Amino acid sequence: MPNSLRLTLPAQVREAGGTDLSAFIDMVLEGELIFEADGTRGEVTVDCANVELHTPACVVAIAALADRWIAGGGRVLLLNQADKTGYAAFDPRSQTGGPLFVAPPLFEFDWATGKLETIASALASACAPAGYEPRGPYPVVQYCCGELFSNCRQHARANAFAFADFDAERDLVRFAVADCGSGLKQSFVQNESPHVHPSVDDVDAVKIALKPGISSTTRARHPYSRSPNYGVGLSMVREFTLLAGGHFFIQSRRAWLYETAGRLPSQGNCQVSAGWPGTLVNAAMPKVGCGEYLDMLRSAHRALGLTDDTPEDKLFG
Amino acid sequence: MAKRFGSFLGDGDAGNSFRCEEIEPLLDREEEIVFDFGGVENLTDSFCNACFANLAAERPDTVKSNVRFINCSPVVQAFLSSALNLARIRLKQTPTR
Repeated sequence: MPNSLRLTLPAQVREAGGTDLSAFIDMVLEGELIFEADGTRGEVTVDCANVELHTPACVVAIAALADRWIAGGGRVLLLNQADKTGYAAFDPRSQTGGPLFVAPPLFEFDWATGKLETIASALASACAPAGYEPRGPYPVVQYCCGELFSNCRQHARANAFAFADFDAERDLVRFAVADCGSGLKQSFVQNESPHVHPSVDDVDAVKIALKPGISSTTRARHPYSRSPNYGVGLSMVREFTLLAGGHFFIQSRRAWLYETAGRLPSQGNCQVSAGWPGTLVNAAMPKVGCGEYLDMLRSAHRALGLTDDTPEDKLFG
Repeated sequence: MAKRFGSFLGDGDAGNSFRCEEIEPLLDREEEIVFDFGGVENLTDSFCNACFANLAAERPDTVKSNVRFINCSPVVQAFLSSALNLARIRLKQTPTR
C-alpha cells in the first residue's frame, strides 16, 4: 500500500442528480485508504488547479478529511487553491502539516463548545449579506445550518465543517455541513434506537433518518429526562430545499441520497473504503425560490404533518 | 428570550437545559411564566421542541394555566404552535397508567 496520493480535483462538480458529487466523494475517499493502513503516516496532495465550479460539499469534504488526516498524524498538501472559492480559506500552513486554518465563509463548528447560532448566522450572511429579512434565503439558511449543527452536537458528537455562498451566476444559494462523527446508522445503533435494526444498511438508515418524527436518541439516556429530540430538523432541511426548488444531497457512511422537487430520489452506495466517515449534507436552492419565510415554514411543517393551527391561542398575548 | 439567547434561538441542547434548569423549577413552585419573544427573529424546531414541546407534553395543565407567550412575530408563533401540537400528539401516544 503506497503511503502517498495525489488528488487532482475535477473542474466541475454540480448538484443536479447527485452523481457528480457522489463520484467526487468516492475520489477523495481514496485518501482514507492511505490513512487506514496501519502504521503509515500518509501524505495526500490535493491539487485545485482545475477547479471551476464546485458545490459547497466539495469544500467541506476536503476540509473535514484534511482535518481528520492531519489529526491522525498525516500530512496534507493543498496546491493552487488561492483563487478558488472555498478552497482559498485553507491556510498554506496546512501544507506543512500544521493546524488547518479556516476563514469565512468556511467554518469549523466545535460540537462541544461552539456557539452554533453565531456560525449559522454567519453562513446565512454569506448567502444574504443584508441579514435577516422576512423573505429570501437568510432565515432559511440560518435555520438549516442551525439544525445541522444541532445534529452534530446531539447525534454525531463531532466537529463539523460548513461552507455557504451565493452563486450569482446560477442564482443558487448553497450550503454544506460535513462531520466525521458516527454516521446515521451508527447513531441509531449506539443509542439503541427502536427505529433501526442493526442489520439495516446505510441506505435504509438515511431514508429512515429523513422521516419526520424519527430521532436516533429516542431511547438514549439524557441528563435531564427522556430524549428532547423529536426528529424534525433533518427532515425540515430537506423540505425547505425541495420547497425552494433546490437540490438536496446527503451522504452517511456508504450511502448517498439525492432529491429534487417533483422527482423520485436517487440513491446509491459509494465504492471506496467504508464510505464517508460521518454525515455530509449539501443543499442548493434558487434564491428566487426562497419566498416569504413564514409561508415556507408553514408549508414545510405541514408537509411533515406538523400543523401550526394550535387550539392554544389563549397562550399568546 | 432575545436578551437571554439572542435573535436566533437555534441550539436544541440549550433549549433543553433552559427548560430543565430554569423553567421547570419555576413551574414546580406554581409560578406564572411569561416568555417575551420581542426581538426574536428565528428559531430552530430543535430549540423550540426541546424546550416548549417537552414542557407542554410533560405538564399540559400547568402550561395552560401558568404560561404565556408575548410579543411573538408570526414566525415565532408558527414555531411555538407547531411545538404545542407536537406535545398534544405525544400526549395522545403516551399510554395512560
